[in-house]
Amino acid sequence: MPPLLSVYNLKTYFHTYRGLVKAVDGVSFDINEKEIVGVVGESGCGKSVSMLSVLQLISSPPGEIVDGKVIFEGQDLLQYQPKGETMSSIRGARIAMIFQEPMTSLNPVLTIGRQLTEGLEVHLSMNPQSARERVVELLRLVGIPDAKGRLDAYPHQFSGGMRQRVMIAMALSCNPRILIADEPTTAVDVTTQAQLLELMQDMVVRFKTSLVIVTHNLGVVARYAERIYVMYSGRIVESGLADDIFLNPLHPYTIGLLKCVPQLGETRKERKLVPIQGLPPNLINMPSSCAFLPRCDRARDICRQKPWPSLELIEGQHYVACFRDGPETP
Amino acid sequence: MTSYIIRRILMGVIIIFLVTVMVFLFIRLLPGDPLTIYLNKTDMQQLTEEQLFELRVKFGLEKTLPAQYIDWLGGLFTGDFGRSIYYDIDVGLLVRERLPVTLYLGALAFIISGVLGLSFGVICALRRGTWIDTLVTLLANIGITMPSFWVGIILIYLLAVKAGWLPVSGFTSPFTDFWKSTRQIIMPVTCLALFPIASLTRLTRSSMLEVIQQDYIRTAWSKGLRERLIISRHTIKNALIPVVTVIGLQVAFIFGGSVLIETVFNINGIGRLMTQAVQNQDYLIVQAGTLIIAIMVVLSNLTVDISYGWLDPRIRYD
Amino acid sequence: MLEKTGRDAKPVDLAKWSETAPRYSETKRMISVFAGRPLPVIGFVIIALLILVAIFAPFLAPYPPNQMDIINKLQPPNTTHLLGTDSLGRDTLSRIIYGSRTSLIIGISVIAISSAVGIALGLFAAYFGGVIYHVIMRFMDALMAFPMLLLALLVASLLGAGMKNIIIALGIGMIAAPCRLMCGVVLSVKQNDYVMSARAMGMSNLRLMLQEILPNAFPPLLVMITIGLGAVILAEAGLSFLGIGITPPTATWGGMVNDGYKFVMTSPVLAISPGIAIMLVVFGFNMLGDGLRDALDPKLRGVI
Repeated sequence: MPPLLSVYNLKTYFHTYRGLVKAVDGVSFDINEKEIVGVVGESGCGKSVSMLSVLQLISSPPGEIVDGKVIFEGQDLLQYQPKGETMSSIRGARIAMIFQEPMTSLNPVLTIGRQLTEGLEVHLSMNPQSARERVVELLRLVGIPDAKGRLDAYPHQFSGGMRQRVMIAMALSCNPRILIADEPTTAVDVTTQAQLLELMQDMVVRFKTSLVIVTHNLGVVARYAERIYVMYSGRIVESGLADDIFLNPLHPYTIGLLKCVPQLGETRKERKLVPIQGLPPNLINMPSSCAFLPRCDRARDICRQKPWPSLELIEGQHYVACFRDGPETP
Repeated sequence: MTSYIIRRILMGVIIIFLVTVMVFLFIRLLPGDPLTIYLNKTDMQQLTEEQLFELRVKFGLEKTLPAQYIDWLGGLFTGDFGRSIYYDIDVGLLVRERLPVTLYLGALAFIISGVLGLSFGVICALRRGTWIDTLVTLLANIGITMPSFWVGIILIYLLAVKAGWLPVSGFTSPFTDFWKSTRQIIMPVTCLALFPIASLTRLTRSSMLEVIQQDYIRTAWSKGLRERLIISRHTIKNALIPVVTVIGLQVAFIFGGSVLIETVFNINGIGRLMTQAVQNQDYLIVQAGTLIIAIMVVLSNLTVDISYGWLDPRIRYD
Repeated sequence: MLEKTGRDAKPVDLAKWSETAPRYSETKRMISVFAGRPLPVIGFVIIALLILVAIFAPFLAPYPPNQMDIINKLQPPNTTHLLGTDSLGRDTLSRIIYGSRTSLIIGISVIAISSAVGIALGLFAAYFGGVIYHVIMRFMDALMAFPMLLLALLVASLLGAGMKNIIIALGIGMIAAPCRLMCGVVLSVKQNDYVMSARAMGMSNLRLMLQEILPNAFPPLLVMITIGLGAVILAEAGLSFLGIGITPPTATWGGMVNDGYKFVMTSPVLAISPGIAIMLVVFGFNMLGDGLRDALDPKLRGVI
């Protein structure tokens, strides 16, 4: 069975006054039906841009999708105009998205009800009355108390966590095949984070939707994701089943990320949290060699001499882009 | 919302009070005694000290400043703005006669500039970078630099003198002769509206461009809404919020401009009355005119503030 | 702080990396934003020319500005008088060149006075807060209700026309904007956590705040002053046009438009040419201000 969504060699560049920023530089990934996938990487690694590119939500200028294919249900989405009919009929209806900032992602001057019903009216041609009824049901599902009474409230009357629940309800309202959650829990506190993730998991099971969780926090995806893509500097550096990534990480960056995640059951003495040294690279005028090289603690001569290696199959579904010298466990 | 409106109205009352205080202090604190101006003008300079004092008592100028202010304010409430030195009639009467003309022209200019300025701004933002945006933005940038009185003269030269399409100057009430009146006000209203149109275009454009970049607009796109709906429902209302706040300034600007435009086009409105009063050193007229116009600006600001609450729910529910 | 891990851990060669990822200085960025578009550059050139013309007026003007030549009055533009002569036979071009001095002097004095008073009031209001803040701010609200031209009329009706009175009148009208701006900056600086904590530690409040206020207040003030200069020049032209601004025979652009208005049927150039000078200069200040704003702080767009 072919994957539901197949992204192939996606390249999204930004034209800035400082130069060309290759935010996404040849990224390929698949999303299968009813699957939960994690996309992990530091801020600025291109993970959000990849997801926005799938729906052609990149503002242009300065952004431009220069190459690649986004195959969804057998057709390449990139052949359609970003503002055209076909893209609009897919966005929200077939592929929906949740954004990072619950405080700014909802329109401050429109009621919650208005913002939730408009998708239903557009995609499912519901009349206002039945749309409202459906929205009340959705809000109840995502755990908004007094859902009916809050339809006429404005976003500023909700807390951050509640707004993100509204966003989840909004994204699921038209029963999409794929839900992309772009850093959905970054801006909320830790308890709310866990609740939201549980909620999303429940919802995608209930709605039989695939879920992509984009995050900088491996801890977030650890519990939920079945497969994981690790991105660095506009490329995927490692991918595989969650077990591959957590039990047998191969790329030094993934290993570094794992060291940043606190784990239950460990005492202080057993392990320390280790930050990855240095800063993510500036994406302008990138060298052709591995972008992680300056921060890598196991760099070799070959890393400096050869261009960035492409993804290489290790076993099963486990891929890595590194001139590694065999598996290492620090 | 109610408490917001009550707060705004209270604030408006305070500001109107301060406006009267300022107008009063202006006249009393600036060098130059109102009485001496009066005396110079009426050629009664050879008065004894006693006669002078009697005059001071007659005009209430011997009292303390606060007492004078209360006298003056009390007069205002009964519509007593004093007596014009030059025309020798009641200032209140003069103002009542001239004000409607200015208000008529100003209101037309205000409506036209609102409609055109907002439309141009929205169109520019939506067609950003196209020739239409470049052209309209350039025109707007030029529009905020042109002296309105100068534009008036050029219009008179081109449309009235050279082409003969419109009457050179003057004003007729639209109730006496609507067609003549309309032909006469085309040029003055254009001049009055020019700056507000241009500055509203600039502001609306930049505000729209700002809103288009907001996260919630991206959310709207991600929901699969069409561009038309995103613009009409999600963008414009947000973009109007900063624009509405400067509309009060536009009112002040149109009133200020009417002083110049009424002079250029020989229109007997309050602006021309005040200009002539300055030349005649008839300060009571200028005082009354300034006060009335300032109060009208405050009142229009108040209206704007209240409508602001309608636009922005964050204010409404505070 | 950073713990080295792994067998072959080695220091990161960040110096090498910075070759491939060049850093851009803030100044460079500002210049590139400012100079990257034509309008700010045009504005800059116009204002530079204005200043040069005002300084070197005696060398540039073909005739003294008030030299009358009744025989050659109301001449159309020709080779001896490039922009013709007015009703008293004075050379229009020379008067426009000298008029730049009047505009600049008034513009600079008004802005200097109103900014000084406005900034002081704003600092005062924000620093003391409470009743003082409310009284000052409500007075500023009231001041904003007066159209600048009407305030000037009011002053002129008492004091008469003249350069000094015009500067007073326009200066009063321009106080509110810098006052509000300064007050806003101080209030936001006051709220910063580190200012509060430094205060709790007993550091000098005022000195600390000044250190913080200046860099925050400078960009918007600079933009406001630039655009304000244009506004003042426009207002002064209006007053001089009404005949209650600068007293004749001093050359002013507004006054020249008024003189020319009487002869618009026969010599339209008399009224049109000084108006173009006003337009160019105001356009220059506006574009320079817009360019500065975008270069210094794009967030200010729409605010000033």
